Amino acid sequence: MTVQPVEPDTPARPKLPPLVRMIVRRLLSASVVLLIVTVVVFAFIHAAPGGPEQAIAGREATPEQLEAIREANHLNDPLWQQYARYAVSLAHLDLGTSYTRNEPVVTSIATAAGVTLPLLLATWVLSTILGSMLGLFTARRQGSRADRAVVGFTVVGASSPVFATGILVSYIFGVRLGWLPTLGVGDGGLDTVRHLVLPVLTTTVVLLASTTRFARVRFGQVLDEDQVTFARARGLSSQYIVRTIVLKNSAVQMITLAGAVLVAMTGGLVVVEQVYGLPGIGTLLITGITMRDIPIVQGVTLVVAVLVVLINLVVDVLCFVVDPRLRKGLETEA
Amino acid sequence: MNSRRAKALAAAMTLVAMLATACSGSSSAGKDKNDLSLIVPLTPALWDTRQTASTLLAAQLLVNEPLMAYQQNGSLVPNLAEEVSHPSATVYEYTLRPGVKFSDGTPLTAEDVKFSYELHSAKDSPSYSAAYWARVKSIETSGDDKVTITLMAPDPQFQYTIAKTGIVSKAYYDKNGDKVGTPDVPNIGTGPYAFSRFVPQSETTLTASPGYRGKRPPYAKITMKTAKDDAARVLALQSGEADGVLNAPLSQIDSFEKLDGFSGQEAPDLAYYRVNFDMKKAPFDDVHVRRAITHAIDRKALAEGVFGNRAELAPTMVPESIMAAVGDAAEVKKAYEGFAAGLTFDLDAARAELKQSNSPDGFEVEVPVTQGDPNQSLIVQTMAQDLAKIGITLHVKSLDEQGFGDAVYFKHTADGLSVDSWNGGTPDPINIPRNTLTPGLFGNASQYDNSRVSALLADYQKKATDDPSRVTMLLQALAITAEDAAVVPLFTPKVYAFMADGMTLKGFDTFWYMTRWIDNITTSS
Repeated sequence: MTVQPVEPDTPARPKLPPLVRMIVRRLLSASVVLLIVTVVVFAFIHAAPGGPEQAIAGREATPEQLEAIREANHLNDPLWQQYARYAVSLAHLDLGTSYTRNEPVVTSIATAAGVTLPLLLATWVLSTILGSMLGLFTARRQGSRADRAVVGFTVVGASSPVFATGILVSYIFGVRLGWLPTLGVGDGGLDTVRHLVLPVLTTTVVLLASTTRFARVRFGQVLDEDQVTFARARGLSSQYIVRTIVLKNSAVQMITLAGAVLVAMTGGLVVVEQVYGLPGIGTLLITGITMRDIPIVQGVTLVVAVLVVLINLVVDVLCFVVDPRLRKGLETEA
Repeated sequence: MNSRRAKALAAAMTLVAMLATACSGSSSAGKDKNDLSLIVPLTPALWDTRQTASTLLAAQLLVNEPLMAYQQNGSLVPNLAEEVSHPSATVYEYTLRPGVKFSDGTPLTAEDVKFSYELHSAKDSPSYSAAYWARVKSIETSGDDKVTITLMAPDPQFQYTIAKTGIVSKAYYDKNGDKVGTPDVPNIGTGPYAFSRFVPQSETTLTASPGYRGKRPPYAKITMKTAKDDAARVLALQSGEADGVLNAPLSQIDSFEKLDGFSGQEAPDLAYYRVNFDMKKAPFDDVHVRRAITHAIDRKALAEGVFGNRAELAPTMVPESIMAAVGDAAEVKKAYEGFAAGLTFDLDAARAELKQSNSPDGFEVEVPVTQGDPNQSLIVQTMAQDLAKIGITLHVKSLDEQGFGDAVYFKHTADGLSVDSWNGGTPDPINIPRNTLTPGLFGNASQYDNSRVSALLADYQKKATDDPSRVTMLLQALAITAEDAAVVPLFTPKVYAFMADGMTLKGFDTFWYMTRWIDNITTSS
């Protein structure tokens, strides 16, 4: 008789919760996306005519001077070597040094973010909260004068280019009323707050158009559902219906909208920054491209790409948190 | 009142209070008679003397003074130098003024001056002025107060190079390296102002330097902002945030002239618009093609159409007044009449020239224009209408500034026809001809290479600055260039400044930024 050796029980690998696994999966795919972004941006900036040496040495530069600048910045090396050098720096979390500003790209981005982030967050909060409130207000009064007025405002807001809205807002509040400054970022503190009011107002007016219309449609859909009719028939208060039925059932769409607005603004504040002369991330990118400041262009695009990836990830996680049906789907998938 | 309503009310009141605080005061709040706010064309990425030229010198030279100061009448006077001597055509000796200190309290020495100049003359220097400093053979010091500069060959522009080069502190650079000039490590100098705030490519604030040895400047604080948008520039003036705009963009002069509460000043500019022919490319290697195009350009109509009355026709690349200032006026006048006669608009003459060329039936050409100068596109599109009548078709191609630079100046990848504006870097008449007719130089967009012209330009530089015969040489060089139809001089625009009523700007001219211009601005009480 042969005795089979007893295999020891291999301990089962502890399974990660589905949500964590989803986050890990998304982070892995995001890193591939970011890698592709670095390659594409690197290729585009090097394919563009003109180089940073012209911007650095000016229009009376000598050929020897231009050559020296190219050599000093390794711009004569084969492209793959330049990319490899960039990739190694990135692996050490080093975005390089700006050719034109002589400061680390991280410093340039941090300074510019000090202007853009308050603008972005203030506008985002105002446009999503006010948009949701106006959307709910009009959804409950569809066809009324107030509804028509708000819808009319959103049509005007949506059809006006940002720069036109900016000029109008500047003219009213800066020139006619003389309340607020129209150019630059101010001397810090309250002065900077004053300088950011009109850019925030401009961007909010433009964004409010889409957030209000989206919220109006979604809230209207939920208000038309049978569950709302039954709730009303059972004598439940309007506030209760809004809080427990309308908002809960619209949460996923509203979170997605808020995320989409934030993503759009991350790359879309350039025009507002130009109109108000704000030295933010958009302006940094534009001047970086104009001056062919390769480290700045690569650094800003990478940071923006990371932000977009993170925002989308947070939106997805929030959607899973607020909607049990999505969580269930995730568990079934697992 | 239930608690929810109370919270909502509190939130609303907080919001109103925040808005009220933000809106407190007017848009020009904090305006003080001692403060001056100006809109300027550019703000640099770095306040390093190597990275500033043209209007950027306006702020740089108020902080980093030069040894010699350029005056409104064109003369140069000792500034940080107490004495200057010129023992031979190639040697300049400067003795420093005693007791001069940097804004950090350290004394100015000859070593600082040597170091400041070597920033530009070093072999791999990224300096905008490197081309001028490349002609320096040696910079030597003796003692703490003497600097001797020896040139490789006589150079009439050198004295202006000294006037455009600010002096920096060697010890400060040794300590801070490449960080000098960034927002965190502002450059320091011996001048009446110090950098107090800097946002790269956006705005700069200068404050009066308390320990300054000389005349107290009229404003305690100067803010210089660059508007990225045309409308923003006008709105900043209208709202009272800016007291004026210096070197106002030509495309916006109409708007500024219509502003209430502002008055403008104009002055001739040492800059000219020109048509370049890349003479190393067919069909522009054919002189008949170049002459045909020269005769087919209606310069008068172009000047009126694009600039209104804000530009003068340019018979050649150097304004007559600049040339006459250093030469015989009658000789200059006669020569300029000859230049103008060769630039007549005559379509029959243009057709006749084209018939003699290698492209008798005409051709098509793509003309690059840069988005940085909207006038270029207007000029090319207007020119295209007349050139079409002789069989030459122009297609406009819009590029950004670096792309334009690559196509026209560096790699010459354009088809060969281009329009640009070229500014003079110093007040000497040789400046533009040298930079635009010398083979291999950036400004020589035509890739012009005529040994006779090169020899005449070289001979000009060997002459003493008070020798009128050098102008004869320069006129000969320009006559040969006109005969070769290397470029078509179009027009010289004017420079403009606008100041708010109650403020006076005196003596605004094309080189205002090289002077101590701040003394020329006054606010009436």
